[in-house]
Amino acid sequence: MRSLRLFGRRLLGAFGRGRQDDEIDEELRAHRDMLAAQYRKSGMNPSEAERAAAAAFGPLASAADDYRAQRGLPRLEHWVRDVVYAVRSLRRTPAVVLAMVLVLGLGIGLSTAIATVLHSIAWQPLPVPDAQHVVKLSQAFGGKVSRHVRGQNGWFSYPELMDYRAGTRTLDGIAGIDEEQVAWQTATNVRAIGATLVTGDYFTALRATPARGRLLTQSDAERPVAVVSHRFWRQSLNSDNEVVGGQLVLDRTAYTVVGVADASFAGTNAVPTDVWLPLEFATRARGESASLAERDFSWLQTVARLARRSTLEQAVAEAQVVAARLDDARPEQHRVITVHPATRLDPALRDGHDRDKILAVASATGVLLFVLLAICGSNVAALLLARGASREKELAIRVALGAGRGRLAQQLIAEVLVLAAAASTIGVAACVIVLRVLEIWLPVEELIGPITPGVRTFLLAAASGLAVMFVFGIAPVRQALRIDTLGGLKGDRSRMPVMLLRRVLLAAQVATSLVLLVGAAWLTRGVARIAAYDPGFVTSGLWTVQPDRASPGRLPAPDIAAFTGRLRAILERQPGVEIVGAASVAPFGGLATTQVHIDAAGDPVPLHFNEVDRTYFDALGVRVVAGRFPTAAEPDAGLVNASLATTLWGSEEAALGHLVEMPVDPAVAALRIIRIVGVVPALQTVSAGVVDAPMIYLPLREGHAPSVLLVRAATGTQVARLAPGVVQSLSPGAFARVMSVEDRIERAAGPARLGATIAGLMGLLGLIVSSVGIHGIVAHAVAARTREIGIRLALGAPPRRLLRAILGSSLRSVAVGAGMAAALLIVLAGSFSREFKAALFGLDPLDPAAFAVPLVVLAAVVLTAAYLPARRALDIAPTDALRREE
Amino acid sequence: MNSEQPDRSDVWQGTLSLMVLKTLEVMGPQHGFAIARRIEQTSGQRLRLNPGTLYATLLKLEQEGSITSGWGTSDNNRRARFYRLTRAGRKQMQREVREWQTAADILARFLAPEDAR
Repeated sequence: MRSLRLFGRRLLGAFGRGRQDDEIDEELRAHRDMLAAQYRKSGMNPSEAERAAAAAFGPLASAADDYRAQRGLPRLEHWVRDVVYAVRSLRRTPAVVLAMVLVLGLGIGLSTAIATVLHSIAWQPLPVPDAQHVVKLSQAFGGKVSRHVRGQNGWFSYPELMDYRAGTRTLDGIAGIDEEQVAWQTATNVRAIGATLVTGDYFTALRATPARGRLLTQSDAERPVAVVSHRFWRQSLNSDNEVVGGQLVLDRTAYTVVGVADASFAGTNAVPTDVWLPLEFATRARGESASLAERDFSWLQTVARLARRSTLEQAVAEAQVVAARLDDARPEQHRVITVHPATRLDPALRDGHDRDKILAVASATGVLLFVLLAICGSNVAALLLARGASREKELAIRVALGAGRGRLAQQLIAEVLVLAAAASTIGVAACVIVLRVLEIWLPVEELIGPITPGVRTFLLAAASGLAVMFVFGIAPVRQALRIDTLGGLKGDRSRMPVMLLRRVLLAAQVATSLVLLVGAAWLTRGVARIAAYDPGFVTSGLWTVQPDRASPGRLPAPDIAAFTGRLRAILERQPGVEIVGAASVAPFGGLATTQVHIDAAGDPVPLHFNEVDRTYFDALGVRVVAGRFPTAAEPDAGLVNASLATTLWGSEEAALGHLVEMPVDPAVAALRIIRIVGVVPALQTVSAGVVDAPMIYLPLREGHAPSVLLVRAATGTQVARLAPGVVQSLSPGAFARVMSVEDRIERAAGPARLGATIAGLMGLLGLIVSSVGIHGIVAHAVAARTREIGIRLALGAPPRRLLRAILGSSLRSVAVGAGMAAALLIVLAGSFSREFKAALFGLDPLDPAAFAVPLVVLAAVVLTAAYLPARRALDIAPTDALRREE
Repeated sequence: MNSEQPDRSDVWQGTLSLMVLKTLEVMGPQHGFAIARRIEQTSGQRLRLNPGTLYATLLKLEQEGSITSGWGTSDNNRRARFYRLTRAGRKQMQREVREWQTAADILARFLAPEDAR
């Protein structure tokens, strides 16, 4: 208690509420006078007594110092004085300081915004209570796998989910999740919305709370009830107050709304959803009851909660036991189950096909962020260095007067902290602005859900500001403290170490700018390629029509086939429509894989497949390169693409006649044997910019409806308006999704476009920052050599040559920096060329144009920045230069 | 001169607090000069008090709440600051006296001649 009171009093004293200075002086003087009086009493005369008292008492000033030191908190007071002095000192060069703080602030803001977005997708725990105990499961299969996959390999089937649920006690319920698009029918309109079908334990496992009404429970499994998301309620239902108890017609079934989810809860997946439905009921309503029974079917994602006092490791171990038991039925197959802390990212993606692309984009973004901060930081360092050099005299005087190195360091660090604080504040503001801009300009909220810049954001901005300032500010501070007292007082400039540091900074700045610009150039050129690239077929005028399977009513499969057949016939007769083909997978519409045996021998070969009819290729405008198309009378003849032919047999012709054995249906043990009768060229129908892997095209099975109709129409035909109309006329309330193939490719380019925009912005920012920095450094270096220039001019040196010499020394650093950056980029591009190509739509990263343009731009900037101050130096009359005190 | 002093003065400052409190208890309210003179006398002139240290100690005791101060007039009609013990200060002093006595007793056992133990 006493020490608390003591601290409190001292704190007050530090702020001026303690014993006043005049009182202190009076008290001390009184003491000294009384001492003098005592000496007088013992016989000394007054003047002797005064002298003796003064001698015995000691200097008044130092006693007063001790008194005042106890009054306040000296350390704190020194810090405050340092900060005030730092602010005053920085105010003397307002333009440069402002520019630097703004630039660093913008850099911090942009990086923090991007980091926040990435965090909210990939790392942020779900917005539910005790989120660290919520997990997601995923399976990784090895060996001879025969599995029907709708989504990712690592997903679960319904019977498997029940087995895992029954076999684990460390997990409090494992919920199954299926994301679907459903047709929402209102009085005036039918449109597709995103639905998440969940098992009854979904909301209980998450312990989510509703904003209105209630959430789904176990007892809702077989009932037509729904929970809407907050965003859907706000935007599509106009925040209707009577929403609970109302009805939504989804896929022609009426669901009663029982609640609205909380605003912060957008689901457990990366893409936010509009409505949650009970999995069992909704799946049956869509005519897919068979899915619930199928055992080897990957279609459900999971989310679960760890039981109290259970650890992740225990859960994994328990689940692995269940997994092993499940594999008993299929001895050639083995699976490994993983349990991850839940984020909005799907853990199965880790082993999925898009993994490499995602990794490439993610690491590229990380590198760009780092590089941006490095540019801003090195600019700051250059500025501080220049300031340090101009204060040598001041610091030398202070050292001569007795200031310790520690105090001086404190002073300089205070400056660094003030700059960091200012930059971080601007950074926070910039971050919020950038996030708002992203929300408005790019459909970020639709893609990602609500992004709330919370406390973590501010902390990140503050921490980055401090970190950058310290990393880049320490070297200049140390440099400034290397004070040559005598030389500093005389005015000599300590040249060597400063110049070296300056050159290193310039090289670093150039290197980082170049990396940013090349990165931006890559992404921009990659995106540009999309407009002009050739996937092996003509993309304009090509549309996909996907009748929504549930909407023709709960029809058995052959009836859906008949429906699709009639739809096709009508479409073909529409004006402008040239060809209508049919397939089970649309171009850029996903992927189906299976494992096959070639010629009934050898190990299983993984293969992509698509069930198509002849008109599919006609619609694409693709001809065979070997063999022929199968005829209608040959249900067991198929085509392969050139990738398969050349990989397995070396040439296209060699593929003809071979037999491919593939499973028809995991439920049925039967195999389908296909004879290869023709080979088509390898197209790009899976990933834009990447040639298709080995693929087989099978004829459509009798009585099975194709999922997608491929429509080739004359330019100008409004297929998007035409097709839904036809579908509606066949079955009112039915719904079809229509998209042009060009739009599908555009969609695929979305992330790259975003990346290009960001990189472009950052590159531009980096360029501005670099030019300011380079200008400053060169101007300062030239100004420091003014005297030397004056002497040389006086001695008759030709100005041109002098100019070249000055510029040359600066440009050497630029060349070193550029060289290092270029070398690094070339090595990176060479080692990861396949990943780069995939992410850049086939662009070869070692394309010279991507390097040439940034180099030229950078050189122009550097030369301009250096030229002006050099020119100015030459224009000074030599006598002025000689007279100028440095 | 300032806080970077050798350890000796810190030890003295701890005991100086107790000496000041004891002096105020015995003498009643006093000003700084009188306290200093009394302490020097009591120590048999073996202690020389640095005025800076003394006043810092007085201020510290006041900040802790053991003493209070106010302006008054001295014997010579000089304006001076007078310090007096508070109730809390008295209790604090008694506690410290007990602690010192215990410490002194224990130490005395170690320093006493062999046969006296």
